[in-house]
Amino acid sequence: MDFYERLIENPLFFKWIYHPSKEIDAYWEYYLVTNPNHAFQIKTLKKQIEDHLKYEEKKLTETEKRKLAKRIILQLGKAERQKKRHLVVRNIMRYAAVAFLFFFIGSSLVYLYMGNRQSQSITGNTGLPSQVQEPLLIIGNEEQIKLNQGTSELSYSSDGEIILNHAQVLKKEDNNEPPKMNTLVIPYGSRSDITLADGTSVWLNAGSRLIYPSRFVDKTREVFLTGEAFFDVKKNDEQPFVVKTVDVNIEVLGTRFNVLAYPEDYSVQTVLAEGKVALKGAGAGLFKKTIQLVPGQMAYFNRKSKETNVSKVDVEPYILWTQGLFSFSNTDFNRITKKLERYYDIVFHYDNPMKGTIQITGKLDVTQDREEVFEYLEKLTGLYFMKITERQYVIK
Amino acid sequence: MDHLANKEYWQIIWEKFRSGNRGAFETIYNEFIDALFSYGSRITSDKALLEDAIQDLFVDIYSYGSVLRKPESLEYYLFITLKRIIYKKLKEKNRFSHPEHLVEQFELTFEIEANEQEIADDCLKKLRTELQNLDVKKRELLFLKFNSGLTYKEIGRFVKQSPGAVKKQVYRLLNTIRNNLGKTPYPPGFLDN
Repeated sequence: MDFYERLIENPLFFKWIYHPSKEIDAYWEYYLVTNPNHAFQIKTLKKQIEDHLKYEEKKLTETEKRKLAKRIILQLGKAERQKKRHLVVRNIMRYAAVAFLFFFIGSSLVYLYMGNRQSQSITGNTGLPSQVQEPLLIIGNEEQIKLNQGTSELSYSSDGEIILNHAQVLKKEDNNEPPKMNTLVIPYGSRSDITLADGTSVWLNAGSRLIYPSRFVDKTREVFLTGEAFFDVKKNDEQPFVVKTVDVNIEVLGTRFNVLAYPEDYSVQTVLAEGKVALKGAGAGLFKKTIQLVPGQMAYFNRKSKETNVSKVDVEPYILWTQGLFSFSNTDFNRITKKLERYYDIVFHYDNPMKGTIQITGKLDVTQDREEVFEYLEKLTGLYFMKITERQYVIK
Repeated sequence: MDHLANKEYWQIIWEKFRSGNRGAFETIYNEFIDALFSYGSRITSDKALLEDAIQDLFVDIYSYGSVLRKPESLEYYLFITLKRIIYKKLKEKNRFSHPEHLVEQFELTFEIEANEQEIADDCLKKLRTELQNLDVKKRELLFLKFNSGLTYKEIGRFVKQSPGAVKKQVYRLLNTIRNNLGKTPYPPGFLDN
């Protein structure tokens, strides 16, 4: 096959000529840029076809299209009721109806979620992590220290030193002075591993912020989280540890658990690996009572309905990210791409949102090269990741 | 782009549509409505009849589609079913008037630009004449090639020709255009846009 024949056999080439759209134009624009030696051939063949093989196009207007779609949906509803009557006869099919109901709830959640996400991208990110380019440590209100991108390690020693990556002493605080509040901001594309002054370890994921004192001197050890973090809390019965998020406060004694509380998500998830935690609503009367978790349980707080569900989960997938691994089991693809957006600091656009509802199962080693990870996902989903710019991809 | 992956994707959407998912209906509708309407309006100029046919198409594949568990290609299934429904409706409509008038038709008129006489090239002149005189099947065949991702095999089943004959027809036309490449001078800066 020569080059022209390959073009003729590519339905997208004719689609570009006869039914152009934003996506298809973007696809070819990108193709022309990346294959400059073919650009002339492609453009001249297109021009020739446009000059000689153009015909009158009959089209419905957008209003007519919507009207027809409404009519069809109405008829489909009738057909469905008829279908259901048949189903009752066959007892076993009832389960399918139940399954359909659940599926419907699931997909409306996805739409809800997609909707939220869209408005988010329009209004812009107002949270702090998206406003900084590189990881940033703010001590008190004035002093700002830039940290390295990628994975950084911060450690607060008992004698008041702040050490970066096991080597560099950033600052030494006088223990006689009152402790200062520290704010660690990690933008998308970076992560940080922090050892607090009490020996508690915190893995802070991309696009997150943690506020904590340089030393814990109050009755409770309080930290404030936006985003995702895994906590391994040093046990101290006299001084409970409290993780505060906008909606939920998590009180702990000594334990290991993961908290997922991104402002753009519609939920706050707390997964307990070890020990015991108690959850309380951050505002008054959010929860009717305190919720206690035992290891292997997840508390799922729905920010819309303000309700919390507790369920048994496999903990490992929720904390694998601390090792640079993502694990999924029957997870909607758009949840995964969202995680990848945070991890690599990129943006995905779906040419069709339905593609985000494909469910996948597997493990990803995101410490690998980004392109390798995407290649693996392409194989897994049968979709295509089209690179538009360094930070933008279209999933087709 | 991976054509196979595309097929798998449409199969997932198809199954979601069959299980009653409205989002899946909208996905299919938005993707294919222009091509289906454009195709149908070449068989009949009766717009109301065509809209009814498109409605029946979706209701039919929703209600009875299980017979065809996994269509080989959703696109092919949509086009061929629409064609069948349109002819059924035309037959009903014309039952009492002129049943003998129900012959296959496919309207496809290539636009001839005003500068027709300026074309000096004999090959192109021949091409223009050929385009004017294409028979019904060839018009339909060309339309499907330009407007769908159907394979030669699928188009062949549409117009009851062998895949080879379909391919030959497409290449005959496009070869004229190809041979003409390079002869037509393009204005400087053509490549810049």
